[in-house]
Amino acid sequence: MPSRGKQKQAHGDNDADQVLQAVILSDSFNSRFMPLTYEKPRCLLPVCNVPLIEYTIEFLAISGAQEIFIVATMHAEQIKAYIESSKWSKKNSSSLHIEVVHASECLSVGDALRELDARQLITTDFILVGGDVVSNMKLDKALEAHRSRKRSDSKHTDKNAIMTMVLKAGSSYHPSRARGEESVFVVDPSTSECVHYEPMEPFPRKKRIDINAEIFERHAEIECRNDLIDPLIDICSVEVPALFSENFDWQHLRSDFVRGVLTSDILGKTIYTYISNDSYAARIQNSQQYDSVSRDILKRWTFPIVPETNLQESDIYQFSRGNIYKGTRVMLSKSCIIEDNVQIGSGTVVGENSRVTNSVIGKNCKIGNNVNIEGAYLWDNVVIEDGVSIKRSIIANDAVILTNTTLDNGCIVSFGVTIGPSVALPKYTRVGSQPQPKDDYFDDEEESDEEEGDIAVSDIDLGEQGTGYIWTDKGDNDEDNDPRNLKVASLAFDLKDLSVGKEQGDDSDSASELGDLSDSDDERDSVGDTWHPEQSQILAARKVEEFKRELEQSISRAFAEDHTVELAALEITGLRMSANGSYDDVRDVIVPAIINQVDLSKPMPSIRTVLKKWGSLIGKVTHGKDDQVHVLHILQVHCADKEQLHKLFLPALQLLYDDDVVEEDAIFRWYGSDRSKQLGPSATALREKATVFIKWLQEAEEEDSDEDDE
Amino acid sequence: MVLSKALEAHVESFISRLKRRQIVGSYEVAKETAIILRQVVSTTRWSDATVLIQIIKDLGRRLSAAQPKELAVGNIVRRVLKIIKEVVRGELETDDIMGSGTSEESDDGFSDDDEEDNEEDSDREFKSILAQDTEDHTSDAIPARPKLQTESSMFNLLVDQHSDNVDYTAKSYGMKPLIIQEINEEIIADLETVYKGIADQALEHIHANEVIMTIGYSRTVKDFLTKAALKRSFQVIVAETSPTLQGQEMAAALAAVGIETTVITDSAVYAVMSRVNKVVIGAHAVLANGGLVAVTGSQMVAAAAKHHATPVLVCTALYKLSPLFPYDIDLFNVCVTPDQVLSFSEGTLIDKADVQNPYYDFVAPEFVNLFVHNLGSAPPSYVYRLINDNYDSEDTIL
Repeated sequence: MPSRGKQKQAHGDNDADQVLQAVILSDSFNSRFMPLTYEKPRCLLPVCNVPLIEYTIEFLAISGAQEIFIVATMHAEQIKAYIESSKWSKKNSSSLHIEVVHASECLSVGDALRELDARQLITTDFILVGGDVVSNMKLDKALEAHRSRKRSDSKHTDKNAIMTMVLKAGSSYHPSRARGEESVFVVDPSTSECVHYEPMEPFPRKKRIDINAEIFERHAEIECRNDLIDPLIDICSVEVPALFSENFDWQHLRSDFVRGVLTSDILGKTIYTYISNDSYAARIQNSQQYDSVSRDILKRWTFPIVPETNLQESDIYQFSRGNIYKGTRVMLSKSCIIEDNVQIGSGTVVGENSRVTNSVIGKNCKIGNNVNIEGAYLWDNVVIEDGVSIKRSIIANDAVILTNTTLDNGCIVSFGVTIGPSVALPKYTRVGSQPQPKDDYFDDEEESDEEEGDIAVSDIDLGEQGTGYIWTDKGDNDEDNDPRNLKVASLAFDLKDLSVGKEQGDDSDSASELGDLSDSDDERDSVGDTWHPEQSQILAARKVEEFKRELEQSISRAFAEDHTVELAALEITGLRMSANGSYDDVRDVIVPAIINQVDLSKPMPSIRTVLKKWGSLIGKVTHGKDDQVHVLHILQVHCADKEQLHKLFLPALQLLYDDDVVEEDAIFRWYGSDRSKQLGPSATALREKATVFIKWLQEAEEEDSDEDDE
Repeated sequence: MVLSKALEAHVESFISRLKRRQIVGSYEVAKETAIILRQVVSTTRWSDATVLIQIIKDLGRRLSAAQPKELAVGNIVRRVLKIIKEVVRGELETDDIMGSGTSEESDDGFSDDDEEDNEEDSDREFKSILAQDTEDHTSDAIPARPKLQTESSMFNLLVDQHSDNVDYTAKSYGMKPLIIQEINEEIIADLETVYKGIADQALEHIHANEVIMTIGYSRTVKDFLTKAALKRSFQVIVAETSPTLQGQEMAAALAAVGIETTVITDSAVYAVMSRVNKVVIGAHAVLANGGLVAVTGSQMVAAAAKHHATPVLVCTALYKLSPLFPYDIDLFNVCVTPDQVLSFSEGTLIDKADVQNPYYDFVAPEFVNLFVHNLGSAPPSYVYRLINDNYDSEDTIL
């Protein structure tokens, strides 16, 4: 890799006006938008009546990208068909070349980049984005900053820089941040190098961040920023896909790649940030962001990327006061009320006394009389009959909502589904046109944990003429993700509803976490105060106990199956590593366990055989004088515990000494230590018994030294 | 589309730059539009004028749909259409006069002396009274200004029936170079001299020791004041023009040429107005009723001026004149990102508040006293005449 990287880099230096490449990862590799994404890829879902990928390509086009690779996994044919029919592939329309790369095997961002590396498509620094970016940013400054680091004449030269993350300054509770996937960037403000990255899921609440102390040696000043919106726009060097190939277990761009690069001493690569203050950038990775980004577009934060710019050539929207956008041939009845922030696609009809606020309505929709639509997203050809009320929901193409039906916050109705008449869908209902598949993405066992509190999902009535299937909200196949993180990320989710659900996770203070989340910044600032040392100690103690229990099990298995010492030692090391346990804990467990193996009916020969074999195991977990003293203390306590074991103490001491597990210095120190005298009467008695042995040892030593003297 | 490949690419890139607002300001837009249209005339195949007119109309529709708020695009397209029609009419009429000149060179020779006016060529057919002095007129090389005065008679209105009896479909050779010539001289050369044309009139309007107020950054106004400052000393008060703060930029530019300049906040405009002798502002576009689309805050300045009976001068080039009528005063406004008004990082707040940031104001014609354009000056009530002179009424809707 390095040779290839260097070669290309050298090439890049002298060739300033080479092609700017960009890679769009069209797949989300998660199921946030199910059941919608079951039929249509996420990047083709309409946002303000324009397919999402149109915004991304436009953004890249603004930034001057000339060659775009779209890595498509799920529904690759649809993406390909869309691109081929879009304005981008018209022959002489632009200098932009778009190629769709089929990568059907990919299950993660990491896989997609490995695929790219395998195909050798990337020949220069490139822009890496998800297929869900909405931005009006011009990347030229960020690109220039990235390139200048490679040049030796610039201010902050860093040949090891491999990536520049483009971030947008926001605030910590900004609606455009991905709820449930926030992250903290630790940045050196003088060079804008990113020195540490920490994902911050709200559940379980993270109370501390560990930062490598070396960072403070190398950087005079660092900033911890929890206010950044991460639109996942990265300017990458050619080495990046290759790095993914080398580290085949990297899956995520941020939590694996960025963390991996920043924490690795071997790679020696650096990552920079470019923080934009003035332009807009966000991505839509969950339905909560779908809502907030759509609203930002309607409220013109993304200007000039607003509906009347008509990203799709067939559209003609007109803007009027109150952020109302109307397409052509829109028929609004005289008595209907269209309030602020509404977009209505061409050919849509709105009936008498209907009210529409904060919503996007697609093309050729039919909306009946006395309908109330509030904060909803209706896609194309939707039919809404009389008396329907819809709040903050997404309704996909060709769906039909029959009379007097009510959809509460956060419902998602998929393509072609019919609902009603006269039913009420509770909050967060998801209706798919196909039954929910039961593949490994949707683990069945989780179902019971994930149901929405007191509402049993299967009870939801879709009405007499209703078609469609209820989908339940399943997590990703990512085990260590708290399901609550997914819930807060969904459309119109009300944080109050979290407490309705069952207690999840081991934290008991979910109520206080909620308070933190829903309240404003002042509480946030006091995060440091909410860290209780006692609590963490209890937690730690619990962990140690668990570790010890596992250790006991593994050692008794070793005895029962008569493993070799090496094997047992390996197993112990493995356990210790995974649980991050200490050697002290290991000794606490194995010394008594070994003594317990002695057959008490014939103690002397038995302890000899036992210690002959397993004594060395104790040796393997004992690394110094202090440790040896510790072993003796354990031995003393354990033998003092039971009457029958009293007589084993001295032989054990002797045998351990003979095996060099404990040395004489350690024995002297144990004997001399205060602790050995204060462990209860029977233990003290054992110590007395050892006096003889000590004396013998001392004499032997004196003799030795005498001999030496002569 | 019959456009050549290279031209089509050029058009597409212009359209996307318009959409992305990478090209802003009516001057730049007008210039690029004119260059594109000239290329269309020269590189596309057309046998008679109807085809050409259709091509230009189609293209014009596309261009102005890309950014309907940049009225200069449509204006230039209408100018070109008018020129084509005039050339056709003029050539049909004066075929025998310049009939020999089908080659480019002779065309050049012809139109060299016919500096400004194929219009007059065309007028000749029905305005024989005026037509007789056309030749002398042009050879004297008098700048175009007097022309407008001569043409402003009501006579035209009564006799103007020409469009019916002109056959645009007639095969016409040698029309192409003539049209290109006209576009070059009538539009592109004109664009290059607009600032000078307006600035040259500065001394007629600005007198010594006056206090002038302006708002926003307008190159036209800047050149106008700079030119006046060469001869006279006066004081300028600039409103800072929040939230873009263009006014500060303007003040810096004026101060740099030695004008005594004061920057005030927008909210102080009314208070200061009593000391002001004249308000001079620029415009983004002038509409058919004499109203103007100008930088946000202009309406406030104009209203304050009206209250204090302070005259308001609008410096505007003729290409900014649009035959469109403002049926809805928001129709030509652009609301840009509210970022400058309320920062996007106020996340929780922007979720609840609606923030508007209009870039332009509509100033009604009754607030304007005089338009100073590159060929002279006119009151708002006279704008309809200027429009009739510049555009063909058939082309108002592209």
